Amino acid sequence: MSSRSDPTRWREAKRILDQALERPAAARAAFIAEASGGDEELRRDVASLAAAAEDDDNILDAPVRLPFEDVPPRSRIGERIGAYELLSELGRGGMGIVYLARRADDEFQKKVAIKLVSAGLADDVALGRFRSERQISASLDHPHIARLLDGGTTEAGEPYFVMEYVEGEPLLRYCDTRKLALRERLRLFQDVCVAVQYAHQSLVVHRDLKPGNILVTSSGEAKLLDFGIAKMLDSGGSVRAGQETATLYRMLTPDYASPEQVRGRAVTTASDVYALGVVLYELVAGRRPYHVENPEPAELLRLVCEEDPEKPSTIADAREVRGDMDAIVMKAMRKEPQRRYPSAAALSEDIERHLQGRPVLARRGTTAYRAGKFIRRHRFGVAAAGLLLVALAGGLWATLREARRAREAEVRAERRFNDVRKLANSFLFEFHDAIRDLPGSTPARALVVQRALEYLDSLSKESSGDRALRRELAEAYRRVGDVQGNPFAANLGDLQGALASYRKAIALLEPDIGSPEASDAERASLATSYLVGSGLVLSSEGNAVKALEMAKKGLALRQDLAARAPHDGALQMDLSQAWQFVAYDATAAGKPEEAAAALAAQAAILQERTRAEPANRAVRRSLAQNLYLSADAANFSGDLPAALAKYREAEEIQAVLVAEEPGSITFQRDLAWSRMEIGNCELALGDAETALVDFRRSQSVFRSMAAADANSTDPIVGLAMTHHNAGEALAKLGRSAEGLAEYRSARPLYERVVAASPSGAWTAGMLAMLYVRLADGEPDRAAACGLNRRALAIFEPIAARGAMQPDRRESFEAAKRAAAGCAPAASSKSP
Amino acid sequence: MDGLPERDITALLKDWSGGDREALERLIPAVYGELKRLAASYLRSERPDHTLQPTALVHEAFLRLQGQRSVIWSNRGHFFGIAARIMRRILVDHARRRGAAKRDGAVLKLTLVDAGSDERAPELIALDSALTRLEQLDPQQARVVELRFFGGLTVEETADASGISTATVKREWRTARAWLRREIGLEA
Repeated sequence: MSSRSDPTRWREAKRILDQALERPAAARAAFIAEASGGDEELRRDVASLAAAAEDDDNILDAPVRLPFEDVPPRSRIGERIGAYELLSELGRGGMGIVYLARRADDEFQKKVAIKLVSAGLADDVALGRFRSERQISASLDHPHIARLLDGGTTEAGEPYFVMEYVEGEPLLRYCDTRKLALRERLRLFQDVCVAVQYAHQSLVVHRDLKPGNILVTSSGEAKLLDFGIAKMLDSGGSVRAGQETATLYRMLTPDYASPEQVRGRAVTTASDVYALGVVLYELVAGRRPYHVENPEPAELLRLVCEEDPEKPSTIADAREVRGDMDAIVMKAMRKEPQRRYPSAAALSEDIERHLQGRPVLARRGTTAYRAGKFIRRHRFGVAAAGLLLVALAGGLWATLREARRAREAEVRAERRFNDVRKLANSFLFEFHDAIRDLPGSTPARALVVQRALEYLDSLSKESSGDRALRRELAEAYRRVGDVQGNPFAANLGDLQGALASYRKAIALLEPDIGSPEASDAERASLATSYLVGSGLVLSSEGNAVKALEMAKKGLALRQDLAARAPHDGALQMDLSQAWQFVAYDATAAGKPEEAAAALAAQAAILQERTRAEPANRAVRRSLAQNLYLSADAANFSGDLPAALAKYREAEEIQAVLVAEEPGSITFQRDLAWSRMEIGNCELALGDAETALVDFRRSQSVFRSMAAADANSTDPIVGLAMTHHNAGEALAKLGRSAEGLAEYRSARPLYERVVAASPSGAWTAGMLAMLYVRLADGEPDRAAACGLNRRALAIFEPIAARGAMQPDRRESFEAAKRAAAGCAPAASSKSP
Repeated sequence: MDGLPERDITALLKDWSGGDREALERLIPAVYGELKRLAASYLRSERPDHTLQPTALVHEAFLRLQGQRSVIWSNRGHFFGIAARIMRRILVDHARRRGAAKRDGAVLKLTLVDAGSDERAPELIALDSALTRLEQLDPQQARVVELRFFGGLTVEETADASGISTATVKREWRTARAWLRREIGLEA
């Protein structure tokens, strides 16, 4: 009997759990094991409870609020309200119904709009306050604001507002039906800003700005409706001071509500600026910033308060939106009110700057921006940035050619030396870095790399006699390789290109490295090239044997370097890292003994370093990685219990590191992967329930990583794998329908990553395995065949290279078998 | 439900606290109806300080239903227990009714967020049944959860209402939180 149903068992488990929860997360596993006193069932029981306690997604943490359903207000056409007769409905909103009306006693039959607030809402409106607010709003007199003419309460106590009747179309429809160009849209929007600014100066905040509240007349005048009305309806009803926040009744238009409004915090003019930002977003991008199919209130709340919307330019295809408009919209929509434009006027002014081609405030301060602005002012457009760079690179090349023609040997060498330096350190990287964040700069960046390579290649041919030049060239290739695809830096995702560059760097230094003249700098440089290169061989070609060979060469060099200066801590850490590369590659190559030996060597170094520097997180992190890899090795050799124990040891250190430095993506990544592996072991050992818990724990870390760094693919792969693995666990538990849903969640994530880096054999292999699973669960035969074919399309080239990893073979065979039963793909439709 | 006379409310409460389970079934629609009216009257508030505890709302609903300030509760704990149980029932019934709720247009009321939201309806139902199982296992702990979660009481108020120490409330709460989370996960 477990603590799930046995009171005695629960009492025991509760006591241990309670004490475990007193301790830091990392120390719990050990404590629970000890406190369970050898009762393995109890230990597992409490461990699963402790894991559940750590899950942040717990309904018990959510506030409880009362549910109730909407009641649509009934129409009142034909009735009289005050001196007005209601003629027809103009629209319905959250607060009530708007009617077209006319003064019953008016011989000119002048039409007005009357907003009648729903009866249910009227209960507690503080009427005194209502009147004073109405006075203020009625005093607004501006060509772009619909006047508030009158107001009051009906006999039944419902507040109503009589407003100037504006014959016009809502802003967005007006722009769309007339297909207004961006410039014209912005002009209209500026009118809206002017009106909002005027109201703010009169101390009236709109609070409910949205395109539906902005009408454009047939003469093209924007008119704002409902100014100040939201505030008037703010209840002064019974409030119990000092009570805990638990129930909060609010009504607003959530798509346009600022984070502070959604959270129920103070609403200020900055909230209107935010809403203007949303309106601008919609004008520019053609849809709302938070585009969710049928959003649930809680989800929308989270989006508005936590997530940055996609830049408008990612939605609108217009080139003119990119850059300035993105920045302006994003600045208006900042989560923190103080970081938005200080006023509606400031927003309008920045748009004016954009329209005039001057630098906008929203982007002030970035070099890349100013360079981009310069180019655009000269009527090139973003594509021209690329052309400019070609011109610059070409120019540099021409200069260098001339230099070559000058032919004075020493001068030539000196010059080249400097030019390569310049290219490597200044031209390539400053330019590359400057344009890196420009949207759509990838082709330009690739071009920079290509030009750099052409130049380096031509110099390499003539570099034979010049050792110093070769070393500079090798460095330059390495840096180009990093831009192309160093997995540890922002890169272009071109792993094969990166590998080629690294190979060139290696080829330049390798021939001389054995000579006594070889310098330590050369050895260090070559060692790094071997090691990073080995990582690239593994990730882009999936060839672990070749990778291992390369890593060992790097190791030998670093051993040599460390041996010359045994007390240099940095060199020791370099050596430790080299052992790790070797261990990693040996594991991947299926050589567990070699991996174990490498890890033992690394552990010895790290233990020594930990003694020397106990507070050093980098050292502790390495130690955890070492444990993780030892676990991997045990895993590969089939010793699952040993692997699980090591993964847990690693996880313990990693959890402490994350607790010490919660903002570190690196530490989070380590922790997330360890949890994933823990889950995998548990699953393989037959404990699918606990595995499922660990996959979810891993997932929650990956999710926070993905939120912190939207550009990195690593967390996406992790998320995909947690879904994939959760699917496996659920399948084992016989919950195959849920499992299939998990597989389906994994698919688009993998596909996204594979599309971004088609040469990544490893992720593609995961995707192929997933396709096979999805095919299994697919009732439609044709679709299942399609999925199996997709899997084979990925597996076959990997297998042809002899790079098929052992854990994938089974999947590959299954796909082959299944595909054999399918008709040949005539028109292979995607399922 | 609107027609339920004041006397009946009082009688039903007495019956219920006297052990008559069916009394609750008759009580809830009346209380819920009143709660809805109350909620509607608070609906448009955007004031940051305009917040109400579930138990306070239920209390107010009772006051309105009884039409007088005379409180029949034998003690605070008694009342809070009833209020929390009523909140639980209302939330769970609501969650059951709303398998898939529609959402129309741009305007939406941000009233049902979090625990009572449609999104979490399946979880809430799972929580309810897990809590019922916990009652079998550990009645005091289940009561702490009901008061804290459904009743919205603070640790101190919960301790006060159940006559136990705040330390005990904290302990019961956090271990129950883990236990229930696991149950919901396993049931999902």
